[in-house]
Amino acid sequence: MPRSAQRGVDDDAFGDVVRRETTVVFGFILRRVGDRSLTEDLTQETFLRAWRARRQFRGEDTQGEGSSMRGWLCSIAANVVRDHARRERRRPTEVREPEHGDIPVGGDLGDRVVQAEALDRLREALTALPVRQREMFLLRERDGLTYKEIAAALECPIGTVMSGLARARERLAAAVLG
Amino acid sequence: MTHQQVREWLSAQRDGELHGVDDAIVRDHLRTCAACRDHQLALDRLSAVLGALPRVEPPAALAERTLARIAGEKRARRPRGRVVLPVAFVAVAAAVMVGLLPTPPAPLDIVSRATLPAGAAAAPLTDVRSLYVERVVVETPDGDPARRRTVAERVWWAAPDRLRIERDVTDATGRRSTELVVRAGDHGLDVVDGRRTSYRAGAPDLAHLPEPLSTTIGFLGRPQGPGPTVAGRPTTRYEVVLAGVRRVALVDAARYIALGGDDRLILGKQQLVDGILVATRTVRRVDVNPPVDPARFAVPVGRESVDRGFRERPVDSLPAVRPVAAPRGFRVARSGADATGSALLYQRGAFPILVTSAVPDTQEPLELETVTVGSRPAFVRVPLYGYPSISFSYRGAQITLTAPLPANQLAQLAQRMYYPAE
Repeated sequence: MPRSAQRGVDDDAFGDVVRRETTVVFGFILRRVGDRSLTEDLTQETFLRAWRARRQFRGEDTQGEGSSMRGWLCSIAANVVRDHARRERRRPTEVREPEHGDIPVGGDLGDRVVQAEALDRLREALTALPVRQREMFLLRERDGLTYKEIAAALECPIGTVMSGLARARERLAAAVLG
Repeated sequence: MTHQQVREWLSAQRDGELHGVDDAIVRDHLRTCAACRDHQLALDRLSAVLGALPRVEPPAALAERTLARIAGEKRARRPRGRVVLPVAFVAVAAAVMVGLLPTPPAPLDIVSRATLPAGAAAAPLTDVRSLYVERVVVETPDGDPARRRTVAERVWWAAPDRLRIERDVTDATGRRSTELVVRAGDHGLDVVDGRRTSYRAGAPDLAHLPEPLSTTIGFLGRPQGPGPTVAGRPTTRYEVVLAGVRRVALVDAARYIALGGDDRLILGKQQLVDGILVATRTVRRVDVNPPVDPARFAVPVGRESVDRGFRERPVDSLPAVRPVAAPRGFRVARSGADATGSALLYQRGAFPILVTSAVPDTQEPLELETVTVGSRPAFVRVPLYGYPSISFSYRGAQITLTAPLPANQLAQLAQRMYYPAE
């Protein structure tokens, strides 16, 4: 007998959710709006909306029905960004990764320089990726979302996530190898 | 089975998301396909480089600030009565607000009906009024202990070239009274014995106050009947609530206003120019107290003194905060924040809107019945000198909007700027 899906989040647990998931939600929004200050506001707005709707959250059951908290929050964040863009009457900015030109620390200097060059190439390739593929890749690799969560956050079929991730990796891997 | 399909499987396999495909099929393909084997090695290299990609980190306190907002919303959802703005709000809101200037989301057109006359009193809006010095002075006039008295002084810088001093005087017999001085040369002034709620000597000669008072009187509510004759002039009696205390306002026929209560009485006026409330115009100087020496307030002359730390600050002297999007048709003229609060000056043509948070209003406010902004209670405060302001909650922060508009338009403005969808 499958367990029934968890319904709702109580107030105490919600505090833990905020502390645990702020980094993911923040990164998710920052990649869309490109401005840290605005991202802070929208991150708070996301959690406020989630808190208001916490009773409706349907956790995943053993059949894979329902959704994970992280995916749920990302889908709310996507709506918050969309609403903001609508208010501002402009499109969300494209996904961006932070500038970071430092050479990684530790290990042999030669290795580090090679690593730094690969990192630069990776950044360039990330920038050149189609927005949706880039987002899928970062949600998976940086934020650890499952395919189902990514599909929920980006509102697309899981098959699209799977193929999009494969294509993104193909292009990025080619870029890293130089 | 295509190479592309296999590469999708390899990708999904790394993520633990390969369902319904036998791993053996993938292995078999790799054994026979050098290109896909190379691809798998490239994915390994990609994973290694990814580890060095810097992570995006939110501000350390963001989660706690978020929780504070949620806690605020929880409180706001509890049923409650009339809200009173606590004094402690200043410090709390200051702490909350630094770095939290909101982004007003909506276009504005309400101000198109309210064009400030060229140059009319726009300049004071660029200043945040925030000097508050408190001191206790023990005076022994003529060296006579019997005449020794303690004066607790609160010195407020109220507006450019305008100083307001409240003096609570306790004499040797323990009797207390309160005096209020608006610094000479700036405005009419008044002095009142704290207990008697009536003029003492030196009440301004109302006949020399030229302009009629603005519709500020309308903020006071309905007249409660005739008041006493003040300085030979009949008055109308109003009752208002000031800082939670019920007070009496006496308005004379020339539309000047005197606010009285248990411990003080203020005389002043405001002015409407083309329907817009602008700063008080300087009126005849009336000296009833000895002139105040500004230097006396510059140094603590060997007496006990407490400087609250606020200083007069033009907005652009505050440490700059991040750019904030302006409502359509407006530009952000200046913005800044420090530990005591934040200020943001929008401008459209000559029309300024100053948004401040947690900066103490040094004026005696008229606290009216709360109005609603965005389904939330809001306070309209109408100072005797300066612009009306409205305080309300926006996304967990307390915002004070100050503009040269009547209070009802101010409320509409706040609604349009901050809660356009409601």
